[in-house]
Amino acid sequence: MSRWIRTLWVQVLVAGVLGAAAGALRPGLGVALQPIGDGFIRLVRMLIAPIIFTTIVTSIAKVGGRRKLGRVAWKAIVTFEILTTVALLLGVVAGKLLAPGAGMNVDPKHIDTRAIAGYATAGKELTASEFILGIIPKDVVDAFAKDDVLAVIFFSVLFGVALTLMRGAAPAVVAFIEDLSELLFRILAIVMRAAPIGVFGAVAFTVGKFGLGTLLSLGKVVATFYLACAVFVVAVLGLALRFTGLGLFRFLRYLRQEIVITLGTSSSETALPLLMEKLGRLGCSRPVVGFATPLGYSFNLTGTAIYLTLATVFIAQATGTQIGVGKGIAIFAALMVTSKTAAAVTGGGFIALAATLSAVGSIPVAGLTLLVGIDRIMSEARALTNLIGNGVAAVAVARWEGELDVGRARAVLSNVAVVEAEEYAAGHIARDASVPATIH
Amino acid sequence: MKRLAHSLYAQVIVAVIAGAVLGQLSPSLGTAMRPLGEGFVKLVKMLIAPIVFTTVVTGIAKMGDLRKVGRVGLKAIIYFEVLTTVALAIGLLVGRISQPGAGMNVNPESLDASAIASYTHAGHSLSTADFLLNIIPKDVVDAFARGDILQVLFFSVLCGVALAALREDGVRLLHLIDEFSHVLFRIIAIIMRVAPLGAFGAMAFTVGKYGIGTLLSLGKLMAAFYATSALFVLVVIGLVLRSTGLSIFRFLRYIREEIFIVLGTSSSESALPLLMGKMERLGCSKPVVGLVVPMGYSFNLDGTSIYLTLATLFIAQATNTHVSFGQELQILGVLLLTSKGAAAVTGGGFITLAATLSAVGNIPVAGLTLLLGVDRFMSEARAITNLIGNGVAAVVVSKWERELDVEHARAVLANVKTVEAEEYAAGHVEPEAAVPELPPPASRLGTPTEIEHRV
Repeated sequence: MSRWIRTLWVQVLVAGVLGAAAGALRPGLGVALQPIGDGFIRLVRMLIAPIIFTTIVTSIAKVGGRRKLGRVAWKAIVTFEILTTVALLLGVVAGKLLAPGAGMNVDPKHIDTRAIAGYATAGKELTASEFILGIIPKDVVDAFAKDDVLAVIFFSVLFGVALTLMRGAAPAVVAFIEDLSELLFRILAIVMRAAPIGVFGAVAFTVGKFGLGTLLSLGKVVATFYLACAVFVVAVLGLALRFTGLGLFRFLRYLRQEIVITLGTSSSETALPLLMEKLGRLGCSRPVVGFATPLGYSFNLTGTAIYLTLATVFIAQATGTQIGVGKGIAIFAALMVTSKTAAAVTGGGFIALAATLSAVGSIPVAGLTLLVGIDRIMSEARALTNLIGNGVAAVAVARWEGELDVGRARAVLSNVAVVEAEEYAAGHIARDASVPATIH
Repeated sequence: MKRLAHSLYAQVIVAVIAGAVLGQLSPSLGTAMRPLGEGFVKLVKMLIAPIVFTTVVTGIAKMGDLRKVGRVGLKAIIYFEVLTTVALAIGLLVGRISQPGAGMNVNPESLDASAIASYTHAGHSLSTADFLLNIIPKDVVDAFARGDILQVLFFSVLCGVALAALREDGVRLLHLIDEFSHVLFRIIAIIMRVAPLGAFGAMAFTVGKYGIGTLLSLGKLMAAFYATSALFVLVVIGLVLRSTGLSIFRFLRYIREEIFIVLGTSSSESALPLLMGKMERLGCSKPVVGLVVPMGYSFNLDGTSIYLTLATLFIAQATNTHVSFGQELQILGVLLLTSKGAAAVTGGGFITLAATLSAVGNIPVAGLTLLLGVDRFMSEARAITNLIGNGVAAVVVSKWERELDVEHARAVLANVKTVEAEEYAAGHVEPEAAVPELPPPASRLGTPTEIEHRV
């Protein structure tokens, strides 16, 4: 018993169940617990920008030469592109086969669009050149201050390349950034101690606010989406992982801690740093992981991709809009682009969807209103699929680059409990942890 | 052809010409190139605050002496004050002699002042006390986030002095900041590879949007301003440089890359990091460059000064407003103060001009509308004159501090091509960057000492 309770994932799972119970029994109390969940997400988010910077820079500086860096980047992009395209296709297929919106006969003119007004206008303002210019920060520090992930990634890559060009002429900078990286991960380990409390609050809020009832009202589209995500993870990601020589279920078990945290907070960001650390432990080369995972977090949103096409098909069906093949291909192409930019905008997938629908035209944007109520529930599966997709992508890139120690990975996968115990201990603040007296 | 492939300077010239041609032939296409120019300027700007910080801190910490910091700062301010006053006076003189606005007979009431409303409004809110208080950042990180150069400079000086006072205890940190500085300049070298693209886009936009035609509409004013700027650079700045033992023509040739990048982007900031690097290479002492060049971007705007007095007189002449000699002195007095604040406000010189006109009183502020269309072209000459003025300021203050090795500087000036080639190569991302390939997979990050061995 005590061994079980000392693992983070069990604590988080118990907290999630307790939170759901609290939210279901006393919705008012559940809603009031929102700050606890938000507080935990903020604790992690405050570390994301510096963690991305330190991991990317150290990764590039160690990846070993520019040619190799380019190769890893290229392989990562190919992997992301394949995975997200398959995900987009799967969303279309699921929507067509299961027809979750058929027979709803919603007249778009009767929909109250006020709820989505904010999303629709936010989406319209972003043109392609503005988006690219937006990646360049106004000032480097500003990118960190505003937590602008794409800008931070951009600067980190430039910084890392410059370090590579200097051929080791800046050892103090490299050592400093590595120390900083370790420090940040240690802070994270401390923060993770609070994960159960955060998950408790977040789940209580979600259930209290939206209730299990909303699940049923649009039950068919929710069920379709969850099913599509499950198929994607098991079939597509499972197959991809098979190529690397690892088993999907063992891999999922290995990531169970990250999975329950993502599920509890319905945000894949909260588990990003943990995921990087775990993949490194698994035996993927750390430079590859440190480079590919943050990139994937922007460009490899497979769950979001499934959601985008499925939601489009759903809205078209519900409003009785016919889409021809040509138009369908145009929408698909537009979504291929927007699914990559979703991370750059607050509100994520929802704004990307609004922007695409208004850009393409024929599908009424007002139909998005149908999805607002269940977005939180959809985002659970979205975040989870994104997380697992990123983990698998990093393993695949490492393997492709010949930098995955498969024997070691297999051994680690069958020893999940040991890894978890070690990580948990890292966040433990020992009373007599004595800072060496030499540093005054 | 081979020279073109390896010389940034030649690439930028070709790009500027190509941009101008495109903008002239197809204005709409030229205007559409705007993001290229903006993107490049943004790339450089994002690094200015950290570059100023690392350069000034290492410079001052190595100088070690608070007294000396004060002395260099004072000398720089004296120099700036003298040069900008001369520039203001020359603008006034040229305005009186050449009468660029005479005979235009513009009725100020017929002008639509709404286009400049935002400028006149912003100008009112800038008092001296506000300006001085604004040099102190609200928060240190905030100063960096907003890229406020004066605030960053202020904090950097404090930081450098404190670091010097720490002596041996500060050595490790100093070393770290020094290395950071090298990394940042290396990033600039990479970014400069796309300078031709940026210059092309910005030039195509300028010509496409405003057209060469606007140049002619206020031809006399433009000609007067460009001629005055040229005269100022060659005669005034030339003489000042002569006194340090260097030749202005060789100096201009030495910074030709920076000049053409500024010309292309019409932003003097886009060459700030390059200029700092080049001045150090020339033999100016690092702390002097670190202090003088960023300070000069706020206080030593020679081109802007010439423009301010000239434009004031132009508006008076165009609207048939009589300006007495006493009023001219008053204009000079007001501008002596207001021109120093120009860089601290976005929209720069234009807002200062609006503030000055309203301070002097009888010259109609609405007359600014006349200048709005040509402002972009005016700003080309303004920015280049500012750039040259700041480079020379660094040389002069170094010399004044007896820290300029004139022989070394002469040798560098005679070898422009070598310097350029080396700088160009620094940004070259070669396929075989000889970082040793590491054995995969590195399981732990490793201790600092291990890393030092590896790298």
